[in-house]
Amino acid sequence: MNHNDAQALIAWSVNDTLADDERVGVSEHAIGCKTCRDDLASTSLLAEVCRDIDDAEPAFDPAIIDRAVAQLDGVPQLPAQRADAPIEPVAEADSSNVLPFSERLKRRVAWSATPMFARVAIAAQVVLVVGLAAVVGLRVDDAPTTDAVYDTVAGPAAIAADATVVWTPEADSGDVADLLRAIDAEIVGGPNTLGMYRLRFAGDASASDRLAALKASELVLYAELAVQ
Amino acid sequence: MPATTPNASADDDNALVAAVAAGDQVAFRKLFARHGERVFRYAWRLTRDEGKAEEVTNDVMLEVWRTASRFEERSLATTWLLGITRNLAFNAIRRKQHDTVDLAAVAEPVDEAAQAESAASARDGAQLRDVLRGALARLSPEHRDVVELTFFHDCAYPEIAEIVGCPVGTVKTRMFHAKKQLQRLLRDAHIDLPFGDADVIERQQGAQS
Repeated sequence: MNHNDAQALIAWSVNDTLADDERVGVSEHAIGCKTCRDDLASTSLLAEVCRDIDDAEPAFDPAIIDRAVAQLDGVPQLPAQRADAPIEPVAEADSSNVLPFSERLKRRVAWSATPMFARVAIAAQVVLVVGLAAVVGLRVDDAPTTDAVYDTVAGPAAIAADATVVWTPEADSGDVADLLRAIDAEIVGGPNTLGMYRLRFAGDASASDRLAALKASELVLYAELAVQ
Repeated sequence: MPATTPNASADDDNALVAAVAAGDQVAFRKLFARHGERVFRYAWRLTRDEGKAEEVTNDVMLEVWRTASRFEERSLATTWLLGITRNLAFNAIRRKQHDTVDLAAVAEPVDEAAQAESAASARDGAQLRDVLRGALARLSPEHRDVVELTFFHDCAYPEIAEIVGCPVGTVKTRMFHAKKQLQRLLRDAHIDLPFGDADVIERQQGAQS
């Protein structure tokens, strides 16, 4: 090992985290190099000083952990990044243990915990959204005016979208932003009066995979690829 | 002294993070019973402010709870924790800078006259350590960060690169500049502590460019 390489590694020779070949290289070089031997001695002293916890340094108070735990119920956890990751842990890869779709849907939207008025509102919204999607789909052949169905932020000359989505009432903007980052998408329009947003996909990932990720997310009430 | 259980295995840590991702508050407690002090001390040594360090530690714990599902075991759990801590601590430093004074104020003020006075006897252990500690506190947060990660947290340089989010070459350069800066500060206090070859970095940078 030459002098320059040895000099660059001396700190990690002192904290003993070098790979074997690097450690041996520094040691062998230092035998014949007074500059590096002096540096090793000074750096060892620096390491000792860093490791000392002096009187001015406050002690760690374990009550910090209790205070954090008390806040956890108010902090939603992000879903796993992989769109195909299971939401609920399944004991065995046995199909008999897999919950039926309706049950998984209930768990995802925490339906049983949702107040009755909210259930009614969500159900009405779903009916309206599905109805609207059907109308848009039926009119696609004769309609360069398809985009006019939406009230977009950008106005009539709105940017073409790849998907439309309705967020659940519980979805907060931070979680939505995380989900959009995860699937490399951005909001380019909306919401319209039905709460529908238009998304555009960036990058090369397949639209159907990203649609699947949206549909799998507990933040999403409804998602479909946009009619082009 | 490393502020964590030395035998804490990476596998155990990964299992705890996975359990936290599944909403297990007991695992969350265990994870921070093991690493909370390390997080707090790192935050304090970066911010030099007890209140801020507690605030950062709290925020780190909540961020871990929120994003545990995103930990993919490509690095050690401790590397991931220290990376989160570093980001939040530097945010706190920037906020503090915004609210009050400049970053230099984060470092502890040093009485240079007193240092010079004590220089003659500084070669005996305790006083030399005090002077060195004072000089360390005057490094910029970025340089002090690399020194602390190396010697307090015993991180390897590739691990530091991951925590800091920079190439390994930058880690080595920061360490070198930190030592050079320490040498200058000590020399101002009339102490000559040889930290290697002062021209190496310049030569290496010249060779790279």
